Amino acid sequence: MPKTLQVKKLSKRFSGLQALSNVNLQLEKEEIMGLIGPNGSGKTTLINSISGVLHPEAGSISIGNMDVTGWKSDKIARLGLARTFQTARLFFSLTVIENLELGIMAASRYDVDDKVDELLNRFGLERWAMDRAGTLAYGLQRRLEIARAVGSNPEFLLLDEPAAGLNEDESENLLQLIRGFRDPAGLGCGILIVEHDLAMIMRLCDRVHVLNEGQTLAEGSPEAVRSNHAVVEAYMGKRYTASDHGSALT
Amino acid sequence: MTIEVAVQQLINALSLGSLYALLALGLGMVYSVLGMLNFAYGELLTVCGYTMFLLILIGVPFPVAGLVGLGMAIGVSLLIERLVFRPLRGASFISLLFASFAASVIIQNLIKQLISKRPKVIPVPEVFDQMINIGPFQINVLSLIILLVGLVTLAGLVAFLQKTRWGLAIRAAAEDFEVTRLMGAKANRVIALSFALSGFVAGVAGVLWLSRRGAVSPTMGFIPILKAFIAIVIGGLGSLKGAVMGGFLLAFIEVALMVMLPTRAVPFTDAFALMIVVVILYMRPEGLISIKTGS
Repeated sequence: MPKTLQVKKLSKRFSGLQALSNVNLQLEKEEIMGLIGPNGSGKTTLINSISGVLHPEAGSISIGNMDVTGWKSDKIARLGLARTFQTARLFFSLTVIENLELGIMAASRYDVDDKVDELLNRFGLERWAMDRAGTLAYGLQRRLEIARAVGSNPEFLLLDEPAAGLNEDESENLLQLIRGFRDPAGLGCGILIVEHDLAMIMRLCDRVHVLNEGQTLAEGSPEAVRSNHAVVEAYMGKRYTASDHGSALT
Repeated sequence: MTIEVAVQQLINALSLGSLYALLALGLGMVYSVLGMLNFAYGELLTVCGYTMFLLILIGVPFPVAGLVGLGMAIGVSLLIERLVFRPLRGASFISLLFASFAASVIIQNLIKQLISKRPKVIPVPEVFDQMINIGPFQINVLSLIILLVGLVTLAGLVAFLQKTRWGLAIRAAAEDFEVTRLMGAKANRVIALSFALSGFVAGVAGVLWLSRRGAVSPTMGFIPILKAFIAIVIGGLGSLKGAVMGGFLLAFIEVALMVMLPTRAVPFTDAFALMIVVVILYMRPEGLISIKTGS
């Protein structure tokens, strides 16, 4: 049976602020799920909780039949979960190759050198292989971070705003790459993607989960979410009427 | 100054520099991985020294005693990690700092109670005091040994950090520990390895330090940790390359001052050296190598 990433009744509080409240989410393998919501709605907190960077106060997270709630992030990574950050967090003083090697190390069953070559090729990074990550242009840094994340052949991949700061061509390339990760002939992984580029989300995702003020506002197909009144209101404010909202989230 | 004297002083500076660089690398390694200064680091040299003292007392030859001392330094470093720092993982910087001071005081007092409060002389091989002639230059044997052992150890460590997968994990953890964990690297192992390497470096430095001093005392770890601390601050806290550069720079400043200062001012060498350090930090507050920019 294919694995599932399951989040049940997850809650997280930062001193006075309820960042997440009773969030339920289920991600299957070979599925792309969009995670959207206004700024401060808890998207990054959810990704941080799933990847073990933060520990929730209540609720549970499981991968397959393993309950990973409260696990350290390295243990969760070894179970097959990889992630990227809102602003690329590379090892800037290390070379492109070294960054990729570190990504592959989590899944040490591979021959590291072969895998590095494959990643360099697949992500078009060969020219910069020996350059330090800190010297790369921003778009390349983002690409390297994603390459490093998929280097471990994860079963689930969490992408936090991967298209932020990319131009149109780069975004289009990214979109094709992400589709490739989902493809069973490629990685076949389940992907949770936080993105502000709603057009991209609508084109890419099988399902969309909408958060607002730490709570689930809606979940469903891109079409269903796009025409959801509460979602449009959260994004655009109450002034928008039902007749406007069909085009508000395109 | 004649060319002969200049070369001799250069060897002295390089010799002292490789010793300081080793000390700084050992302290800097744990700092860069854990973000914490291990003030019990100096006591690793003390442990190494007293192990050698006890062994030499019962007739063990100096080199063998040195190797066992080195092993003890590694063992005690790992023990400190396991007993003091691992239970406090995630604690605040201040808690860790006090814990390391506590470990330092405990080790010092154990030595005072179990062995002696007073300094003890260690007989070092006589060859250390001899001079050898290399071309027109007369060089002190011990300076040469320190230089060679220091450089070989540094080269070995650099090769380990650059060429092995564990070395890569340490360099990655030194830059961003959280992301290194997210790569699946086992945090406890990376940290334990950094303590083991730190202990190894402290052990090597301890043997060399003792060879210069020829005596052990319960507080002998203070000066080495002070020098290491100054070196990593000059080099840029958190940068391993900076730690090595800082060590050499500090040694060059000290030797240059000893040569250039008038005889009456020589006792104040350290004060003058620290003034120069302040000037360096005034111009480059992040040290020679900034870990933010990596340059």
